[in-house]
Amino acid sequence: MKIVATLKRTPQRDTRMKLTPEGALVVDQVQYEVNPFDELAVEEALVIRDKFGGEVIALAVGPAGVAEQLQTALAMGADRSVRVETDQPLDPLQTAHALAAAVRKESPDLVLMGKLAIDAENGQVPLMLAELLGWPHASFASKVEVAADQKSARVTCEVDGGLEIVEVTLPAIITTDLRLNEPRYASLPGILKAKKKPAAVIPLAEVGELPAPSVSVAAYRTLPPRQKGEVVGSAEELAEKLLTKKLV
Amino acid sequence: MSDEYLYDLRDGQFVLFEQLRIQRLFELPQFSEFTVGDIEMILAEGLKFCQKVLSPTNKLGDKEGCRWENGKVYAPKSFHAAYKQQCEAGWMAMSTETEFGGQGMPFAVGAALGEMFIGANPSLSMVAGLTRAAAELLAAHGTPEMKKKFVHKMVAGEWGGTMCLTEPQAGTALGDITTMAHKRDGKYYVRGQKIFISGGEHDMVDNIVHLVLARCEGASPGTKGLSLFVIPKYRVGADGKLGEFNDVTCAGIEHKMGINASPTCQLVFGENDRCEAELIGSEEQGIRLMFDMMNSARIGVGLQGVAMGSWAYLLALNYARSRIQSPEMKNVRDAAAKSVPIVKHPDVRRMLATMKALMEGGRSLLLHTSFCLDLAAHSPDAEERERLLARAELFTPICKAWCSDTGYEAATLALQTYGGHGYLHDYPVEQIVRDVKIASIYEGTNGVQALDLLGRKVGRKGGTTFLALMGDIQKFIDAQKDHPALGAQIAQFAGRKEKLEATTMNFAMQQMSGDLDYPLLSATPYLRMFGNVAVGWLLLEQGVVAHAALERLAADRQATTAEARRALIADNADARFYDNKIKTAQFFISNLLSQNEHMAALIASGDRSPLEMSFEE
Ligand SMILES: Cc1cc2nc3c(=O)[nH]c(=O)nc-3n(C[C@H](O)[C@H](O)[C@H](O)COP(=O)(O)OP(=O)(O)OC[C@H]3O[C@@H](n4cnc5c(N)ncnc54)[C@H](O)[C@@H]3O)c2cc1C
Repeated sequence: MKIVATLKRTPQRDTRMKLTPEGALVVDQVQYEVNPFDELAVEEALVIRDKFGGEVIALAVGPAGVAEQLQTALAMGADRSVRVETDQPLDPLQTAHALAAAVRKESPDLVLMGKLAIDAENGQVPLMLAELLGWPHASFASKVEVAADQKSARVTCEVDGGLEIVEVTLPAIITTDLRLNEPRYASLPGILKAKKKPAAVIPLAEVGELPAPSVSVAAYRTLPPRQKGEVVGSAEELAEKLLTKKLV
Repeated sequence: MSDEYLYDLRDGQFVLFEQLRIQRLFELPQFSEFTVGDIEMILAEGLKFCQKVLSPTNKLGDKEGCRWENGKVYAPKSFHAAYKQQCEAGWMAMSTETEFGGQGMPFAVGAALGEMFIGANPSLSMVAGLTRAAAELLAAHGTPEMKKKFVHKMVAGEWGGTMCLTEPQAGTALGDITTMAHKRDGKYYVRGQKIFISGGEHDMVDNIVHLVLARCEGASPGTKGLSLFVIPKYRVGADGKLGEFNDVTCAGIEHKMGINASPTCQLVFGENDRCEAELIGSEEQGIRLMFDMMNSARIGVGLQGVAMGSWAYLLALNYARSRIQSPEMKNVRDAAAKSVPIVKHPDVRRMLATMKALMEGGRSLLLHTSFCLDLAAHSPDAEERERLLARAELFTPICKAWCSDTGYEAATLALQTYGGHGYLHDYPVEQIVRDVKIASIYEGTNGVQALDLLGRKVGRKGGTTFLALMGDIQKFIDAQKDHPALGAQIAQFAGRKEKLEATTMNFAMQQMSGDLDYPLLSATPYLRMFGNVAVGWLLLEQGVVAHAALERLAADRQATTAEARRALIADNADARFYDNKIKTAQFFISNLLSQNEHMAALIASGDRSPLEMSFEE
């Protein structure tokens, strides 16, 4: 099977983002890592490949720095990487267009993606990509079982209050949820091998015309500092306070 | 508060790439595959592994400890899976040659990673570290059959390895070893008892390969008569398959102050006279071969000191930022003044600065020494190879003793920074204090390291290694004496360095005059003094490198005024790191290196009272 796992870089989990007075993010000292949900996608792709054979391609859209996160995927065991080169921030639809062009070129049997990226938490790109490709999709997977004939997959999806089991024909887009797997750590030989694996770069101009941006961020604001909490003596007192402050 | 292991990745990278500039190695054929980017990624991934896989088992292991039952030893339950993952992911033998299944990385990189692995779980890392050291000894000195039989399995972590020196009556005095080897039908059989053998028996591996010092029948007395044997717990057939039990039994394990999860075993060899052994090298070569292994193990113990002391420092730093207690002194008369994080209090800052300077200095010394070993092995320049090997040998007892002593000091300072909370099991520092203490004892007590430094290393080759080091330090002083930020400290340092030279010369004269006891009385303060000068030199070098880097950064950002520089340091993490480095060097020279003045006076005093007290009765 040919499997594409997409990934995005996101700021390391404990990063406290700084803002300029104008409300722009200060990014020049930010350390990045692979978006955690995308790490699950890479892991699942490797598991499926190891079962059925084939190859795993790690795919990203972004600037040169993203090569570092692609390298992580290669060190985990992906066979090669493709990066669509751009320094511009793309909105979700533009990103989906760029990915669609790269996916068409590879024509894989399966595309695995994180259900969302933990920076903006939009969760739009997988669905848009499925739409652009005209492929079925299954979202929030906690289990993926590819059929023996590799023509379909049975996906357990996490839905509110339960699980939904769906079948999709392949090729398809599947997005990962937290319970799907435990991503492996890159092994030391894996890291050393990673840099010898093919890493293709496609200029953005080659993926065709992108739609005009439909969403742009006007400004960021920090949350107001949290008010100090207060210890109350009894449940009655708490109820009283909530009532007088009209909080319930 | 998290118990997760912490490592200062920025500092490790600074030492490797900005101070030592190990990228020099990547021009050599052995290392031409590596780039700085690769090593950065390896360090980051290694740290992730340590934090996520090893660190969670550290406290569990301490609580549970090891269990002995009918000759079998059970490691803590959480260890097996973590150990297996470590082996499978190739973190077992980072600097071991690729020929034997290691990763062939420079020693300096292996040492940087070693610090993380030891810090994240010293007990588990001891099993892995001794196995690697034993495998490397076999790889260097074993017969081709031994290499084939043992080394790959050990490097892969499937089999363990130990070093068996200590016996009840023979700790420091290895010459008193009574374990005997006798020949029967062309084979050696060993009988005797060893104690305190780390990793001597446990259930994480299928076989354990012991390297044992023993005396052949009729051999000379003392350490000279010792031979080194390889003794597997289960015999190994020519096909590599495990055979018969080899009559090595574990009679019990010790109950200890720290590293509770590391099995410290009493081993009985040849209880039924069926303990087959193979000789490594030739008879009566044992102590020399074992020292080969001990040298890398001694650097490993120094790493333990810095690994644990530095983690304790980083924990204390985080705690000091969050613990709110007492207003600042300047507001003490104002009843409404708010309490501040304790990091604001000068006495707490003194503790933090002390820990920072000691541990960053120790890290620099260990990585410098490891880099000397890399160049000693691979430099194309024969003179450099020889000079740096001698340098590494001179520094080895200092790495071991200075770093383990200061690691313990840093750990207790960290505990002090926590106040009463540090004394509780709720926080990781008390375990660190218990776990790091052993580093000053095993692999030769620190007292013995001091004897080694003074009695053997300094005087070796007519003192030329010592003089060459002093020459290098003098070159640094001459080149930097007008340094804009550190000139005053460099002048001060030059005086301490001269004191060290004078003290060393005095010892030499005393020894020549036949007074052996007085120098021995001062060996430990002498080692500390020497270590302080070595570390002072390296921290000043760091300060000079950091100063230049900060200047470049300021120029790039056009921060020309004092105010613009302050702003740069306030919001740029790199600028802050460099600025702190300069201040760390200043602090070490003014505050800690000044101990040398005291020690030099003490050594010069001629006071022999400890030799004359009647302790014996
Ligand atoms: C947890 C643990 C793990 C260990 N692991 C191993 C292992 O894997 N393999 C192994 O072989 N051993 C191991 N050891 C043993 C360790 O190396 C010895 O404990 C150590 O070498 C000291 O020997 P000793 O305990 O007999 O102390 P002693 O030799 O009795 O020393 C007691 C004191 O006397 C001092 N002293 C002794 N002789 C002199 C001298 N000539 N001049 C000045 N001072 C002197 C020492 O410095 C020390 O302060 C381990 C010990 C422990 C506690």
